[in-house]
Amino acid sequence: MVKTCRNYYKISSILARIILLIVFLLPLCFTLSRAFFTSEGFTLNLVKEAFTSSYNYKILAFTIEESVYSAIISILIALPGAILFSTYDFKGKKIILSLASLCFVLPSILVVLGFVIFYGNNGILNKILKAIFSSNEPVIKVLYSFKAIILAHAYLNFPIALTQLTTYMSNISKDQEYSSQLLGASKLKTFFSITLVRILPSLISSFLLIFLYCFTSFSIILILGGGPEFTTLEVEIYRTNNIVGNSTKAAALSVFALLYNIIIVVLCIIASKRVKTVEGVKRDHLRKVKSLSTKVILFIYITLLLIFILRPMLGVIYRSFVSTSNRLGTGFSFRSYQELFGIKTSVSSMKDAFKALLNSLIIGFSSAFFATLLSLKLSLYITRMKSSLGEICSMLPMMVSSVTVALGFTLVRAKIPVRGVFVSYIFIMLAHFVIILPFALRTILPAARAIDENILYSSYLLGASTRKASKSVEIPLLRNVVIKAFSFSFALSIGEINATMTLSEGKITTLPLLLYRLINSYNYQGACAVGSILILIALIVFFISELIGGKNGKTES
Amino acid sequence: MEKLRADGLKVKYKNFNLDLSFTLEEGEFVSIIGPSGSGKSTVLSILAGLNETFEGKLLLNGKDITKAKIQDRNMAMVFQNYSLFSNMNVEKNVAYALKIQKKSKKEIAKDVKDLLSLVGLEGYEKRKVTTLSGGEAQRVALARALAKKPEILLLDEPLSALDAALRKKLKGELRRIHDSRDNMTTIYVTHDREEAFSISDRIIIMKDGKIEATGTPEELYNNPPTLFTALFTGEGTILTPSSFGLETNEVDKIFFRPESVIVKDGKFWGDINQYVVLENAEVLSIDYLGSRYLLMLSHEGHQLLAESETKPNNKYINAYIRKNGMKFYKNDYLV
Repeated sequence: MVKTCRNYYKISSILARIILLIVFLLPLCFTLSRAFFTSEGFTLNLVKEAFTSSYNYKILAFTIEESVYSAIISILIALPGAILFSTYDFKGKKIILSLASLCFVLPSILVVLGFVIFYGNNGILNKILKAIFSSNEPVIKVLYSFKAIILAHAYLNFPIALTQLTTYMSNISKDQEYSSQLLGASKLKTFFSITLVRILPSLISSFLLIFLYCFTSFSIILILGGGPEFTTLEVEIYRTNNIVGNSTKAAALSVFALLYNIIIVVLCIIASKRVKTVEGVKRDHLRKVKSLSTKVILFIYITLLLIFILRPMLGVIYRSFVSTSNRLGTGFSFRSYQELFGIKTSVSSMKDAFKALLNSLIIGFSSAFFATLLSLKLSLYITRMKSSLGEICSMLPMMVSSVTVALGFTLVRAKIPVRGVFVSYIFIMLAHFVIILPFALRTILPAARAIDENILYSSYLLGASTRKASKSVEIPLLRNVVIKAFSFSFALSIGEINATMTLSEGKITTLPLLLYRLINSYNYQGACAVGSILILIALIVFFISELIGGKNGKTES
Repeated sequence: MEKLRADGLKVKYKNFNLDLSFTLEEGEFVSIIGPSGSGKSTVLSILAGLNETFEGKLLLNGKDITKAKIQDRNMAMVFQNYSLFSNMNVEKNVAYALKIQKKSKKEIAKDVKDLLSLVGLEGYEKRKVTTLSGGEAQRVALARALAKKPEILLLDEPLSALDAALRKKLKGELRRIHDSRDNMTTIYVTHDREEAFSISDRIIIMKDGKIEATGTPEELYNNPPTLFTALFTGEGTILTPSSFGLETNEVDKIFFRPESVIVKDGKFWGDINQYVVLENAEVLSIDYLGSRYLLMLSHEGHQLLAESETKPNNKYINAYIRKNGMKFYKNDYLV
């Protein structure tokens, strides 16, 4: 891009770059300063302690273990689908892929609830099995175990692998596979000796991304793990700060966790770069499903996938209409919804439901709006300036886990003399903003990069100023992806619980927080009603994003 | 009248250096041809203001535009990949420059209609650009560029993404449009020699960032100033003087086109003094080109190309090279 035009992008993104640095770096500096400075001055003792504590390494080992297992299981679920979807063309393929990506935007706390409702001792599955085996004891005990954590992580993250691998495999030419088969290799041999090697970069990239999300996962471990046996670094930071009340130790632990997060994010960036440059892609024509065996395999996989995807959601919606309260009666009931909307009075946390909904919507809208706006400015800046540094800086928030972000904001707030709900509100919004920013940026940036610079040059040559060309050509071309980024960020903010829990101090309730409290007080019907609202919001957001954002994502003429 | 002067344009990249000067006359249709990587598109990007890393001077109508903003150069460009604004329909694409020029709605509507009619796309106003075929998209790109009424129209391989039949049709239209727009000065970059030959007033041949030759298509074909030009502008044979039994220091290569070589199975009726005779040349291959045959011959270990209207019946024939068709070169330059 020519210098005079670059200046426009430089100037128009200054504010965005400053905001990014302040909002992200300030809390991080506070966390770091708390870890390195005590009342007696600078010290390395706290961090040294964190890095030498065998307990911390035990937690780290478990965090790595659960992340590796979760990532492997997610990929194992996704890989057959990616192979089938990238080879065959059939009706409903797009819907299934879209449905799978819905899992990713569901709040993690909702997934937890879905698991409790389905796999719990009194859950749907056990009720059915109890009836079949005429048993009084639960037949399956999955909850509050390592398996539950892995299963929930796989549920949330397999769409990443499914989407990435399907896209990648659909775009690589099948010539090498055909050659291998023509030379006499079986399909299985071809898969292991040719295909697997070719898709390895994409496989590694998906693995690392899922590993990162599981490494920094919070609510799933907190609730489904169910005890100190299954503590991860994130949960430990939260516990040390919010339950033990030792923010200094929590900050030192954050530094410990930060190092590993940075390593993983750097690996993620390297891996994703390798995926892009692996080969000149060529799309083959997809095959029609003809043989009976393929039809059967496809049917079985899709059925299992749909059960896997829809089961927790349907379970939650169903349970929201079923009362098991001895005091208020059992069976079908609208009670939780009536309490939710204030039609019936409630003694439980349900009275906060409407306020929680409002809070979630306001925080979600504002943080998603600013995150999308900033991502748009930063994407254009990174693309037109070809700035690698800008890209790395924008991805920095990914390196810092949401609990650490929240801890940083807690420390910043402690320095501000003004108190009150409004301040908590602002801090939660800012924390959400920092957490969702990388996701919005990752959605917009590839589309911005895909815009052919010649389009802008054509516009300049036709007399348009840089500003006019950007406004009339470049930004309209990104319209769909901006809507997608907004919906995605909004959904993530609505489901955010880690930072919210740390920062709210009980003053502000959001839907996921309410859900957490209802689960803790064993009000599962109420929790499911709140969960159903969250599902509804996720569905609305998802359909808007699929209908508008997904439509003609083409950015090049 | 001189329209554009490019003086001492220099660009330095790691593995490529550009260094050239040229001028353009008002109303000329000039093609820049050359192999891939010879710097053709770089020249266009310098002229358009898309490349700032060059040294040299650019004068348009005698006025220095070296540092002028892209928007102020009064040039328009059609890119190989069309670069249409996919968020706008055909009408809005074509009207883009007109709106920037703040023309009235009535004027814009009329201009768009006229331009679409000029490129043969009447009634396409409301079509989405994503639904257009390659040929249609390129016509819209051309209409959009013409709407600006540029002083110089830059065409960067505009037909290379199209199929052969469409290319042939559109190249004729490009010339027709050029002639109909008061001979708008046009620079056409292509790697297709035939395309350039059929529509240009003048051709600039580039090689490794430098101008190898410039002239009318006829001049370059009949009297190629360098051996590279000779081979780049058409088929031919290069032999050394010793192949003809000549001992000279003034010439080191002899070049001739296949049509300068006549082949005969039987008796030759022409003036034998006008020809160099190669007796009993072996026919190695025969390519049928439709109206004639292209023959690959071998004579005393040397291979040469010849043309014949009839297919030779014998394996061995006599070849007669027209003396005035033979061009002599020393160190790759015509002597």
